[in-house]
Amino acid sequence: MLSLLFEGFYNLFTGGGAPMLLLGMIVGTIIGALPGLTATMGIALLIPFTYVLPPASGLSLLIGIFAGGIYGGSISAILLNTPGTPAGGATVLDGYPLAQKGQAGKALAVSTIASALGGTIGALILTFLAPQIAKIALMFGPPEYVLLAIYGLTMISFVSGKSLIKGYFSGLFGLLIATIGLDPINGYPRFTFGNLNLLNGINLLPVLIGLFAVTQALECAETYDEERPAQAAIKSIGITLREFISILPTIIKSAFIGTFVGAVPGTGTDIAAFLAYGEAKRSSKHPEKFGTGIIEGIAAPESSNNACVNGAMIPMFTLGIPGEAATAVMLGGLMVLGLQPGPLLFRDNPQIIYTVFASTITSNIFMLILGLLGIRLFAKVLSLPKNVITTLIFVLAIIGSYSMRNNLFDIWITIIFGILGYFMNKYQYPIPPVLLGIILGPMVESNLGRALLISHGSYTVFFTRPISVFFIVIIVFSLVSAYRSSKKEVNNI
Amino acid sequence: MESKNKGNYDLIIGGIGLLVCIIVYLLTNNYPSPHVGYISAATFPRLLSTLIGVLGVVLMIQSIYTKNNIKIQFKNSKIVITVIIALILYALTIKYIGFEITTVCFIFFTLYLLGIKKLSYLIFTPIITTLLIQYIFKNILGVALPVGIFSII
Repeated sequence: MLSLLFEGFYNLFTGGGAPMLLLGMIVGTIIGALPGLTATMGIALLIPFTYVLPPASGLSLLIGIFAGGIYGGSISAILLNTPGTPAGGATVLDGYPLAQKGQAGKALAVSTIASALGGTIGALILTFLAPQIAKIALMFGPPEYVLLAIYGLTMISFVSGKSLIKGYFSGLFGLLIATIGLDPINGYPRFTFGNLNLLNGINLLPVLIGLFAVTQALECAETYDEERPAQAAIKSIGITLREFISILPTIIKSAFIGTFVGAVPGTGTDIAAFLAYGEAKRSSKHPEKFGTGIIEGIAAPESSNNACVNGAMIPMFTLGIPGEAATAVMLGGLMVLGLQPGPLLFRDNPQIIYTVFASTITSNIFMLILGLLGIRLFAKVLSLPKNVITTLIFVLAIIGSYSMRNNLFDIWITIIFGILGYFMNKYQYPIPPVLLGIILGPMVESNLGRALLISHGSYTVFFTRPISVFFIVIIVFSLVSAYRSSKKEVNNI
Repeated sequence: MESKNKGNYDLIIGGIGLLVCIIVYLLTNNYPSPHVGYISAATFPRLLSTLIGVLGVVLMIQSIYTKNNIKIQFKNSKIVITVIIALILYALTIKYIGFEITTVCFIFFTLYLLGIKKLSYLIFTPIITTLLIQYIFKNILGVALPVGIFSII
């Protein structure tokens, strides 16, 4: 395994992956730093640039955007009191007060160091844990895949926001969209209305770009006249060795929390950050100081959310099920690159997967260098005119969706899904379940067909195999816990 | 420019769900029975549309029972609608007029619409961006961007 990892590092630095990772980190940090633009949108928008690259380099670019995007969110959280991404929400609590005390440079340095260290711990856990899970997943047959995909679909419960029904409604809509085109068993065209463009189904990339880039750009257009808050000034950047030693236990503990939260599908970087912040406050000797601008309050959420990025990749790579919006879009990116996420990726393409692991570890070193040396430059990004960026997102979304197949039909798909996503957000119908449905729909249908072929039409095949029974138990557990937490949320309102 | 709409939208959306369910059933009515395996082309879509229909009814009942009307806040709705129209026009004309001119026009118009009034921004941003995107997509990514009327030149 270690030899594969070393080979991964070799491939990363000799196969063109490292510059792509660095580029992804820079672009991701800029996108993450700009309030209103998320890492998810960045990944969706840059997928078209990956398919001319070798798969490992393309994935390195996406990983760079994901990690950079989550880190970048802390820059605006500290300097503007507005998190650039939801993951930076908890960083605001102590980051901005510290910046107001004239120590923005210290706050940014803590955020950078904690993000890089937390991310490294998360990446190491991903590297050593994922292959073991993949080994177990290699034992799956079609019935297990059906149940795995259904388990993946239960994640809709956790990304649904306030209403479970609305989340499932969105998810079923995505599943129905996925049935457009030739049916996977008999090859009969469904809902194509004679349109040849629909024979192979609705292409994933334009849908991704529409739902996550155009929707967000329309939301930015809606708030085009909003003033940006004043930016805190950066004086000196850095922390003392004593300060570093004092936050090190918080960083390590938060990294484990973040990785674990990320590895559980249905959670996200924002939840990881708040959980770690809460734990750091609970276990602190001076909890009353949290919220006044202390460095532990920055280190905990930043370590946790960057570790969570790596944790979230565990179910995505090993089982092919996305846990939340950003990994759902990454999963789409993997498919665009011609890779089928899941345990077979570990068996058939170990060189790619270990290059990706090397990439996740290296991304944290790049983050540390970029963050400490280039922070003043990234802070300048915050003064870029927001409306110019919004306009550019529209153009990149349109041309990006066209570019994959040189097909004008894909532009229409992007626009339709962009408008749909905008109104779904308005009427509080969550968008990520649509994507989960589109990704997992074909997996459910084709494996259902295969499982029934094996069992000669008997549905007992789903209840008689040990791994299937395990999945049924976790599906029930997942649904019950989702119902309970939604009820709790309703009672709290 | 800010407008708040209060209405029983879930009732309408639930109704749409029910309608989708009926349409899927009608469309899949004449799908052939499976010649391979045990599920036909209609099985899965029908299962999904049934669930959509059921959830649609639940949404409708819930919205009538709870009378929990959602407040939908539309800010600068005219701007958003104009951007959407501009996007549609961009997609409609790009095939005939070509990438360069349509993109320059779209960027210029959207920038102006979103309150950019500085002449240097309005002139240079569309031109530089279009050239840059053209270089990246055409020369680096090898994408054949639509040329429209320039294809005859």
